[in-house]
Amino acid sequence: MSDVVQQKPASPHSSRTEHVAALIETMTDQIHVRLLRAYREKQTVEGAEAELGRILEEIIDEA
Amino acid sequence: MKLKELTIQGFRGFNIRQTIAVHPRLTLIAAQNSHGKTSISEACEWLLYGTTSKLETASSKDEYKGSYRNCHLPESTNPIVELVIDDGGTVHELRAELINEAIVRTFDGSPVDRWPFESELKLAAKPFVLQHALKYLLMATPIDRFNRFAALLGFDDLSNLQQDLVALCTRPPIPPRVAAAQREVALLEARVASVTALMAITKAFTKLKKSGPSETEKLLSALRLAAKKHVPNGTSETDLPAELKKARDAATAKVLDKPVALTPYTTAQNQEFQSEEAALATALSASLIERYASLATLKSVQAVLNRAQFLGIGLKLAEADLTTCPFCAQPITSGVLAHIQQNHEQALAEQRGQAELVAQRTALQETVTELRENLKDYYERQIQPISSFIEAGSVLPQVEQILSPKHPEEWQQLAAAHAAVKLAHDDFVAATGALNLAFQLVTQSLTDSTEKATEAETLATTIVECVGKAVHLRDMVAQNSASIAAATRVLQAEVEAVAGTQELGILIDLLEKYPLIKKVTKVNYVVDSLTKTLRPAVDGYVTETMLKVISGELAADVMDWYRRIRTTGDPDVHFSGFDMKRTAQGGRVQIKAESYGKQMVSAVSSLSESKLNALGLCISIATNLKGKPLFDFLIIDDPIQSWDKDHEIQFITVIQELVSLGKQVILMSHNDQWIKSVRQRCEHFDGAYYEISAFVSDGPVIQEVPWDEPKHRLATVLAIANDKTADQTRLQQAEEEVRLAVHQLTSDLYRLMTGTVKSPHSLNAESVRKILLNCGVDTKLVNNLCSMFITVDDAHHAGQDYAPHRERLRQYHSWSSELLKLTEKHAKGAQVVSTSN
Repeated sequence: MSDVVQQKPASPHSSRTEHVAALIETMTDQIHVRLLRAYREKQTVEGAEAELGRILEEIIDEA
Repeated sequence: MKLKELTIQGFRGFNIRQTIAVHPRLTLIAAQNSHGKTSISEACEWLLYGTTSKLETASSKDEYKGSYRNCHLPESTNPIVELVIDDGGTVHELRAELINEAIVRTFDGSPVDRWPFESELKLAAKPFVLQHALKYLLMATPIDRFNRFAALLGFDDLSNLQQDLVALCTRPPIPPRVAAAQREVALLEARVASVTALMAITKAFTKLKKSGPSETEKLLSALRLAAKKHVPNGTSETDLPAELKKARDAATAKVLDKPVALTPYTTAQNQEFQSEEAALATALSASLIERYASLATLKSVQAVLNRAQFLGIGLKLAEADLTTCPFCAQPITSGVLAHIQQNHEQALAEQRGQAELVAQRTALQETVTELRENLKDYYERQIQPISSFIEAGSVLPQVEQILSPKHPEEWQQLAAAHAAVKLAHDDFVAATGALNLAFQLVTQSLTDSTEKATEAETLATTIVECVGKAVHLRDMVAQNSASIAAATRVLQAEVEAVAGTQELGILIDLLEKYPLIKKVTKVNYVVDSLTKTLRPAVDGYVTETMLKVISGELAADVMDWYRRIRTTGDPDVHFSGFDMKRTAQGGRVQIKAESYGKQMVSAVSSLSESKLNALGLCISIATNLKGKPLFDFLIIDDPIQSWDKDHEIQFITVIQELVSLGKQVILMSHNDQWIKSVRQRCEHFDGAYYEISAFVSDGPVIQEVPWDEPKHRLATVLAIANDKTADQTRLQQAEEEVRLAVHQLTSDLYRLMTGTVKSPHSLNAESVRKILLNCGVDTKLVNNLCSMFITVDDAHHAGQDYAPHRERLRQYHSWSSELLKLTEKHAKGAQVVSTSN
């Protein structure tokens, strides 16, 4: 038997965290993945906004 | 989670405290309109959610302000709702008290801010079928309907997620530094677009916007190609900016003697200056002054040395003739010689002690020299970036001539900014001059060993002042850099226009700022991707998830329940499903209807009131059965409004099915005949039946009516006992019937003798014994009746090894019949009393 724990597929009645996890699964853009992870972690849009700010500043500060 | 008991006091229509025992399967409540039925469902709703759908759907919430409190409730008493729930065998008590418009909750006696199942509560469908809420759902606009469906189905989290992420995608917050870089590149782009000769670069910019960072190399190629037209053949790509500048400066020098530009300090430079200043402050306070002050004591060293030397000489001379002084030829006594020797040794010891201080002086000289060098470097690094701007003061009259006719505002800004920066610059230079003098003084004193503590203080004060001026200069540069940049851009454009070097200027800026253009392109690509990729992905996910439920599963489930209410005599004009769409304004839910195979405009405009009513019920039932609901109960408030008899009967089958599916149904209706029909057709559920016979200032007058007449029950039991084909299961069911009959008879007898109602559902063997003995029933009969409960527990579950017995059943029937006779005797007596009164 495999040790991999299958993630429960999100249903409409899933929690926000489960929905974001399901949404992340569909993402190919790593920046969008970072934003969604920040949103999942902070549970607020401010979390994702702060992460976006960090991403954009990282680009501007790139050598 | 099922309901066991509901207690209401002072809430809505309820004044005095009343408790309703809720049957685990089916509880029926019959009451005329305005007799407090809805107060019961509202009490449950308020306790669980802190609000009621009646209030939530009200267009004016002000009209409901304070309406939770019963108007007859004494001021000293608060509205209270209590609920006893059975959560998979574990009983909990939930209590909510309204104190000054605030809800104070307790769970199993302990105060809580929210219910332990609060997070699930938000996700679960509300277990209430309420006419006003259903109409609100159906009659809403398609967009509002979507939102209400989302709320009804517990899509709150999904909706909130969508709202949050759409806000992020449509209004992404851009950090100020990033926004400034975007503006700079946008300005450059606008300058390029204004020069026809640079059309190829404009096109490259357009492609950049469409295709993103992958196109930046093409922009660079176009730039280099355009630049090569203005430089000597063979110029390398790296030399392009320098060659372009050479050409540009040669031409513009004819218009303006010196370029006017200010390069603001970078963030890194500012941080470096700040950390140096912090280190300087520490060095000044902790070390320099103290060390310098201690050197003042070093001045005594010389005196010590001189004294030691003098005494040493005296000793050496005295060694030649120990009896005569070599200076005055006076005789030396042995005591005087010993005194001179002692003083000489003491002076030498002091000299050795002071040697450390001498070493300190040397170290301090090194420190001061290093500090001076550092401060010199600190000064030059701050002055150098702005020196050309300060020197450009000499060309300001020329600048005025160029700028002021067409751009007076920019000229004023530039002149004022230059004056402010120059003043700060001059202050810093002057403070540095004073610092140099202080350093000279200290250095000289250290060399001459003439240190004074005040010199160190002066040096420290001068350093502090100098640093203060440097900070002010940087502030001035930062404050004025934007206006200087704006004005010098205009100036540069004017100068280039006169000199004919516009194209060169743009190309130089483009080449110099190409790294920034690349970064901003990447930033723009990320920002654009939010609306182009992330938002559609979020919308798609949410729509697909909701669509799956609303248009798919829910529509099928609703249709399924709807078919059960339909009658054969119905015209074929019916609900035919949901259509969910997403528009720019949000999700829309259209309710579809069909007439004899053809689609109608919409269900809301096409279906009759009764069909919409039926549809609302079906939606509510279907949503409550979806997934694994939090609640196993469903409170249905007056469902059959505007229905004809056939549909009323059809709906009873729905109630039967809900109970069979394990739902605990609490059904309320103004139609007592229909409720009685429900009771008859659901007789086998052995439910509870209440009638609200009147409504007074104390609240609704609630009476429990026996579900099944005990006499009828006992006749059934005897028939089973005599039926030789009855198997063990039927015999066991019959035994349970006898016990239910005993509960009912005990409750009836108690009511007849005391006038107090005790729900038969709340009784157990012990309470039956107590009540019957209190009612004066013969102890032997009471013992016999209570022996019927020995084989079951309080939940009426028999042990595994228990087997029913036909003879024993007959015995049970006999004892119960005795209790029946006794109860009937008292009932007759009561009737006689009542008639005679």
